[in-house]
Amino acid sequence: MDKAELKKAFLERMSAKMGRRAVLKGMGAGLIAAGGNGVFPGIARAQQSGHIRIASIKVIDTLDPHFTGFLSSIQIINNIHNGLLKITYDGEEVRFEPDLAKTWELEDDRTHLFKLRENVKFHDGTPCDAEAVKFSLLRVKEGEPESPHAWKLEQLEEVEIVDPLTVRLHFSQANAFLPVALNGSTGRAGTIVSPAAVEKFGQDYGRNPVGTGPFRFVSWRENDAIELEANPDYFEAGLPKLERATFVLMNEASTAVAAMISGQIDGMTDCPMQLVPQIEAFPGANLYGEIEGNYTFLGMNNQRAPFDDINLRRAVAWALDRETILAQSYFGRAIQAYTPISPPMTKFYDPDIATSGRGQWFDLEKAKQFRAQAADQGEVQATYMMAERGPVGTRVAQTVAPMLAQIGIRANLELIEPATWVQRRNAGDFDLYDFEWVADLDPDEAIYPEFRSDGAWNYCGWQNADFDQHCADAQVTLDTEERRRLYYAAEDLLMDEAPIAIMAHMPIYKVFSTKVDGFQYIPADLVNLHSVSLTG
Amino acid sequence: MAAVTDMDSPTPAPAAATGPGRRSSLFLRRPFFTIALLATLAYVGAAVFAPWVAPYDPVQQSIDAMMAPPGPAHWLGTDSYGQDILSRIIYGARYALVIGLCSVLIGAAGGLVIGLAAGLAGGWVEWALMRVIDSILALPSLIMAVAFIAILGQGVDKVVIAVGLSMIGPFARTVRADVMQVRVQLYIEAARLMSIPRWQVIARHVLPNVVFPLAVQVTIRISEAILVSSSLSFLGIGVTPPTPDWGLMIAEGRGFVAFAPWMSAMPGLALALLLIALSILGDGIREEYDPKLRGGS
Repeated sequence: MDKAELKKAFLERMSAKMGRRAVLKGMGAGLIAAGGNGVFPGIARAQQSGHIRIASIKVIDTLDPHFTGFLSSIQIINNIHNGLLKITYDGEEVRFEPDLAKTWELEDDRTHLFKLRENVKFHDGTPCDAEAVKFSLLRVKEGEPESPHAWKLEQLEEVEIVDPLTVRLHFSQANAFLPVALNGSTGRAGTIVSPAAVEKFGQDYGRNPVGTGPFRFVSWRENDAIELEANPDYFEAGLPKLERATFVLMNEASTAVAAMISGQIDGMTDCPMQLVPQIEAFPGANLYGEIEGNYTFLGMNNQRAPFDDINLRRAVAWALDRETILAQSYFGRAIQAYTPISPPMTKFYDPDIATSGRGQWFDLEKAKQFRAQAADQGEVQATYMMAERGPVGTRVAQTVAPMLAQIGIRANLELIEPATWVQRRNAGDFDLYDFEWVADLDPDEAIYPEFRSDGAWNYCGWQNADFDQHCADAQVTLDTEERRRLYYAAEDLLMDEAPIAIMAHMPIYKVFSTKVDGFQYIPADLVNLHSVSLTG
Repeated sequence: MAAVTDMDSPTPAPAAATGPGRRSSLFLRRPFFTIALLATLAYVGAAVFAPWVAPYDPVQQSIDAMMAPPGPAHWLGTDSYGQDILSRIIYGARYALVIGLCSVLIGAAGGLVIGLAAGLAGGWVEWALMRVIDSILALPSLIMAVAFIAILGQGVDKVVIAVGLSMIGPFARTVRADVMQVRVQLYIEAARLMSIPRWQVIARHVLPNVVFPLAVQVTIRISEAILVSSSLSFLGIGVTPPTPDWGLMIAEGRGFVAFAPWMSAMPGLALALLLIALSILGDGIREEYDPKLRGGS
């Protein structure tokens, strides 16, 4: 351990004992000197200062991590709460690392031992200990009302409290998906909430969230703003750096861009692809964004005519000119998808997929061959429902319709309200629709619930027992090599029988003013403000 | 006409009597009216002959010409799908004019029935009908149209009905006011005393007095109907893309205003010019033929 690390470890221990502020007051002078040397840039400015205003573009349903269905909510929740694990990204690889857990050991493939950080307190002053972890996990697994994330902990059999800071989780089988489920970000299931606050607020916890995170919840004014303030007792040394953070609730991304350019806000949680050139042309803003864990597709209703015909589906899958779709629907910013597994799933994504011969791509000849084998040789009429939703609204539908016409499918574009769109999709009342599954970091969450024969999100109604088996096997396989083989086999079935025509992996953008320092981009649509500071 | 002038103005006859001569000088007396008429005719011509006039297929996408600025190949530029904006505006005239005219006719027909019923029935029927109309009038027609769209769903036909229904209020008011003027006339009283059937009185004496002012109203309100229907499309709840509808085109171009302003500006200009032309046309007709205004001038 070198000198700097020793000093840091010492400081951490000190801060735990005395509370961060006392440490800073007592050691301020020395720390600033150290910061000047670039050893502790964070700690040198640790006295929280600055008030950041960020436009939150999409709907916030609730700030209860165990019940939200929206990434836009997670973006805020993740600043208030921590998980057992967290997602990190070094520009190359996405990793799952202990967060509230200090260590995480695999005693055997079904037993996980977590040792928790000491002296971590919730914002309401109650301790974050093994009891709180047990409470939170069981709230997800078997709480009332039922959490939409309960399935992630289906195989959790017992939460054993070894001592106040140690929990042992017993699972019924090995679970390779666990790191995703137990992280406090997109996984949600492993987010730890204050038992006292849940007790106190009950159903209203989502409006009064109490976590251990770098920021405390202050207020939520409907259709106006969500206010957070620094948690001075946060367990990560030197964080947070900001004193206050306001998420301004703006529905219109173009309004947010205007506010950004006029300096009314310091950042945006999202920036639709069509507005990116405006941000790029504006010298006062930095754009963050890479291809994330997602895939977009044209979904077909496998449960009714005309797309219960596998040959017609295959014809569609090979008839979509992906290059045109990328240029026209995604403004040249997305990359072509051949299968659902996306680049951030570094252990599973094949960088040479384009030449591997796996998946779907544009081949009009092949499409016409399949079309010739379809049962209906006349002009096929299909209802394509679209809505002003998602990253590019109705652009995909408008781009794809002429391509379908080339193989004798007349897509009747029907524009409906986003809420109706969701209703109809869930009820299977459509022939065609386009959609995107986003923020997936593991192949399991990317394809299994979406295409499992009885999967909750299997809106296309495709059924294939072999696919189900491959995914189920992969879930309990911890060997990465073997898991990859199983997922490739599952994907090959999916792409061949074509319940969907896969199109693209998209970048998801965040915008921050050039005054904002220290934002750590993570390709899981997160807006973590932990290390963010404001200059000037 | 005679019946109305009896009451309204003592000497309207000389001006009206010169019929053809007066009409021929109209265009000279009102140069703006003439320009507006020619402009409107140009729009109508574009709409009718769109397939021959438009240089491109309005839904022909071109990946090579996405967001091309105005130039020799595309006079008014292209949109984000590479579709030719001029062609889309020309085809869009069809939607604007058809939606405008049909919805105004629906509004006028509805207004005529309600206005006649209220004006002739009198008493509590009139009171009840007019309170309903008043409450409808309290809301802007765009809000009404949005409400009807929410009930009916989207599409060109639905937009026509929604906009038409939202315009019934003002028409009903105008008709009722005219009926109220007519129903106290001596000749109506006389007809009644001669026990001429009521429907005959309405058809022969009331309707002719009501229909002409109504027709003037129609010309004035077409522009409002076009504006409301375009607003619906702009809000994304009217006509469905990729229909070449002006409101839709303006909305689609909105996100690109900073670097491809022609996408919104061109259809916006087309819409603005048509609305101005229709307004001048409507005002001109009203000033020329509305007996009340004519009497005053």
